[in-house]
Amino acid sequence: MQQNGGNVLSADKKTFTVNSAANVAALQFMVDRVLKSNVMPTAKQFGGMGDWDMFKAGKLGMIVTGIWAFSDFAKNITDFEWDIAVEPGNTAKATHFFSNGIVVNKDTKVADAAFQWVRFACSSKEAAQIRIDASWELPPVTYPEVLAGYLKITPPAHRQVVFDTLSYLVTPPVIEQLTEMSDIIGAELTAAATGAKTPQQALDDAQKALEEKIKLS
Amino acid sequence: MTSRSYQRGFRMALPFLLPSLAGMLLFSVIPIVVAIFLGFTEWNGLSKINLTSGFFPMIVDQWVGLKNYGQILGDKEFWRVLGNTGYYIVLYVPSILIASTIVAMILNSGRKMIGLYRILYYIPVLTSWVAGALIWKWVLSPDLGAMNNILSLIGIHGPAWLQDKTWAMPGIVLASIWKDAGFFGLILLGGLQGIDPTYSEAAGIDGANRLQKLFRITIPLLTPVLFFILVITLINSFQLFPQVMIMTTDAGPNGATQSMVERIYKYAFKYFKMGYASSFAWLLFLIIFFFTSIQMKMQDKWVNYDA
Repeated sequence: MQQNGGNVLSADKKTFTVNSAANVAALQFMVDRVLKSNVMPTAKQFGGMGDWDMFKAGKLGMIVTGIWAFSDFAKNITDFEWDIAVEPGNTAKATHFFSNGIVVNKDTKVADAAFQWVRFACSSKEAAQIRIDASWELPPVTYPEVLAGYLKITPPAHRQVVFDTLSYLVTPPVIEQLTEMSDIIGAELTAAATGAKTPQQALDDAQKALEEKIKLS
Repeated sequence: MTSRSYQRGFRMALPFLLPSLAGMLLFSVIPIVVAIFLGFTEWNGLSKINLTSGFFPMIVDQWVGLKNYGQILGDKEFWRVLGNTGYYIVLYVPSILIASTIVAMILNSGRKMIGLYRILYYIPVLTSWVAGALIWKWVLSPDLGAMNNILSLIGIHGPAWLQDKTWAMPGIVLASIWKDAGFFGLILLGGLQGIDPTYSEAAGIDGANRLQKLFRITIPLLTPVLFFILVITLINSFQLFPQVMIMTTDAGPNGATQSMVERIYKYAFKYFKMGYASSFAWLLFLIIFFFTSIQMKMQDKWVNYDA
């Protein structure tokens, strides 16, 4: 959506804008890649296989995923070379981003110890190195020598792209019913991708269902 | 039994019953009663409640009356899910009755290595749904799966099964029949072996052929067992869940395999609408109760308890 100038919510976060013209155009573009040019597989062509497995098997040319895929791909893809790039976008670049948070219970009896542990997990050099070594997520603090080691690892050859994408971050809306909202939109996107509904119908129905079921405070 | 001896017998039995009664109270009766109250609230399942002290204040605090029930019944999702469940029942119940009758007749035929057949038919029953559903997910894979490969041998181009909204539910039904036929076949086998063979011999002397014996003697005498299976399969069908969750992630293309329990699970543990999910669960109970009551009323017309 945001790569085409659209969004899920209005700027004041008080109304849904799922069926905006920009979003419909973005979905039409994506659906056409599946149903018209078929450069993206249909659900039948996936045949129940996950997109990771299809990519590793050499049956998908491109995949949208995250840095947590690196270690699996590096280990299991041996018969072709692969690399990463920032998603091109249409009117703007936009890269999906999420982060993990650590919280301390307000009623804890060991608040100091909990804080010490949180500080270690979030900001120490040792924890940053553990995160880098696990190749699952990036630490929230910058230790140049730790990150330098990360950038040297190949594949992917252009690992610097991981940091380039940070210039185009978009985050999901922070609402209490996020999972339900995602399922409502996801179901309608599937309906469009299978041809059961036009993109306009699917997003109109999503908009209606979201307005009925999701509270925006 | 006199009232006094009954009371003495009850007192003697009580200590032996207590472990089961405690489990039933803790894991069935209390949750059922709590769910009645939760169905009238918008509790999210996350805020702390204490059954002994803070439960009723929480109920009062989060009370929404019949709002959940109104929303569920007014949402087309409920009727679509009920339709999906009805579609499953229409396909599954007759199929499982036929399949388990065939299994029972094979197991009752007295052929060689019958013990081995009994084990083979019962293995799916012992297999966990997770393992079974993953196997069937592969079996029904459009290009790589065994089912479409077998169909192609006789010139049939199989559908995309779990990725096709028309064929997703029949795919779930196939897996369910594979899983349940051995269990119900074994129950029917018990029924078949309880039929006195002299009925069949007498009919043979009177000139009845095999089909006449089957439809005039065997099946009428099996009706109590068939009735039991019909009641159980209908209840199980309304509770359709694990195969849907595993075989069709997010309940199939365009929600084609969404079921009542799948919705209850998602509302309770994914969307954290525990009050709404409790209302959904109680509606499911009322639906099952309604259909089971009809079955119980109708049994007089076709179930034969005389033999």
